[in-house]
Amino acid sequence: MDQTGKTAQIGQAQIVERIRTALAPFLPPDAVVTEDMKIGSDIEIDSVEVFDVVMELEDYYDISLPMEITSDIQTIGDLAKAVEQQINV
Amino acid sequence: MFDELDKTRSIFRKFEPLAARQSAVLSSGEQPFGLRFDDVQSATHGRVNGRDILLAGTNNYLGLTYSRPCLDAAHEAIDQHGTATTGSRLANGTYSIHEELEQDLADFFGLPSAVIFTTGYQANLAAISALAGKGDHLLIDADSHACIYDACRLSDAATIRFRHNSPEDLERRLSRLPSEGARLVVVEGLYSMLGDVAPLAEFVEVAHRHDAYLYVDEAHSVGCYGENGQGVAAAQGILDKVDFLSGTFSKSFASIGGFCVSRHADFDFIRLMSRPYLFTASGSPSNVAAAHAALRQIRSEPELRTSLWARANQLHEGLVRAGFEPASAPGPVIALPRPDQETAVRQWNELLEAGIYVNLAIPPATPHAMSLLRLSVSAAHTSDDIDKIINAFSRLR
Ligand SMILES: Cc1ncc(COP(=O)(O)O)c(C=O)c1O
Repeated sequence: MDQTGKTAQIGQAQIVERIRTALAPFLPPDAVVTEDMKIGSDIEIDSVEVFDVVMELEDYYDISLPMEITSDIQTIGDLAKAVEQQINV
Repeated sequence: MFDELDKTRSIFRKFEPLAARQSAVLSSGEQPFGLRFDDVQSATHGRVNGRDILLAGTNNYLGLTYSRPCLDAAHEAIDQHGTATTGSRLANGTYSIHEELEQDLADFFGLPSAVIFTTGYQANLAAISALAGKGDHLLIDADSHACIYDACRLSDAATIRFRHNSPEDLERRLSRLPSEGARLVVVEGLYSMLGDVAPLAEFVEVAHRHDAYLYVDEAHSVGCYGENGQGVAAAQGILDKVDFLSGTFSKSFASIGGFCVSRHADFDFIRLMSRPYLFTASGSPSNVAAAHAALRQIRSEPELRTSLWARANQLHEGLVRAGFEPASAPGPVIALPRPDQETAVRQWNELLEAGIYVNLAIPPATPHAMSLLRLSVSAAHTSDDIDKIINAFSRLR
């Protein structure tokens, strides 16, 4: 994968891994993050931190993730799906 | 029957975390959010629990709430036009006083279009949601005021955030957008929580280079910045380039209401389609008249700004000397980051005990989860008032 993450096929698993990296600064070192976890409840970060994670992902994949899309996201899997959709538009 | 609803269906269940947060804050003294003032006798003094309190957190930057011209104008307007308009601007709520204020605002900024609104909150809601429609893009500073976020939710445009006060980050995000659709960049002149100023000259350059319009909310800066009090854009020499400039009457204008002015005459069309403009009653005569009187004072009494800045510099310098580290350079808003929420709440109470009211700001209302003691300076503060404030801060535990 190149620096921007813009390669032909980026799978869900890779994106989830990237989300883990983006979340790391806001979570305890030993936190476990899985696709079915809910952002805000299972994963304790506030809305401001969620936006920071979103901006990280936008920059890494060179995509736009409008608030209207991200505000409907509940789980890590949802977020990964939204990223995947934007990469492939 | 509602008492019997099981917990999962109670409409109040979502408030439970709030109750916990509230009691954590209350456990160390007075209620900092919605503190009750017995009365407020001047721009700088009020009473709480029967005690005289020096006000240092009221956004009353020019101290005009008790100015003779504002009081007289408000009294006169009530006598001539009654207590309320009881209607929308589009129906029975447009009086001569509303239009005269709009004309004078246009004249003050030297721009062709000016529209007033019932509050500053509604000004942003009305203008932003009407300007940015389906297929358009809104690009907003990450630290934007809640009403800008709410405006984006009301708009049919896609909203993208960029990093606070970063023209480079804005540029990166603008360059990712599809070529179709209009682009509106929204920033503030002076940020109300930390008191930092936006690099508007750079923002307007980046925005226009990417065919985007620039909208600046100058709620906290009109009246305070710029040689004639026109705000931060004027102070940075780019007032003529800003596409839309909004503001409020609830701070330096000593009233309630809001406005948006534009260099584009077509902005006036929002009167016909913007919901927060249409579906609410227009500003009360006394409010409109007080704001108009304040505008005249802003234009004719530059000494108000001179005093404001003298006091702001005095306070900033004194707080630094007392060992505090304000979040920003001297200005009408001085924010002191505290190490944690408990310290901030405790010191807020100590200050009130010492007869000083400041604002307490804690997450999630603050950027970067900061806990702050926030002060706002007023032209009506005396040099002794400022010394008293500094003194109280230097005694904090
Ligand atoms: C940046 C900003 N914009 C708009 C507003 C809304 O102003 P108003 O009090 O007139 O609704 C405020 C005030 O709280 C503000 O801080």
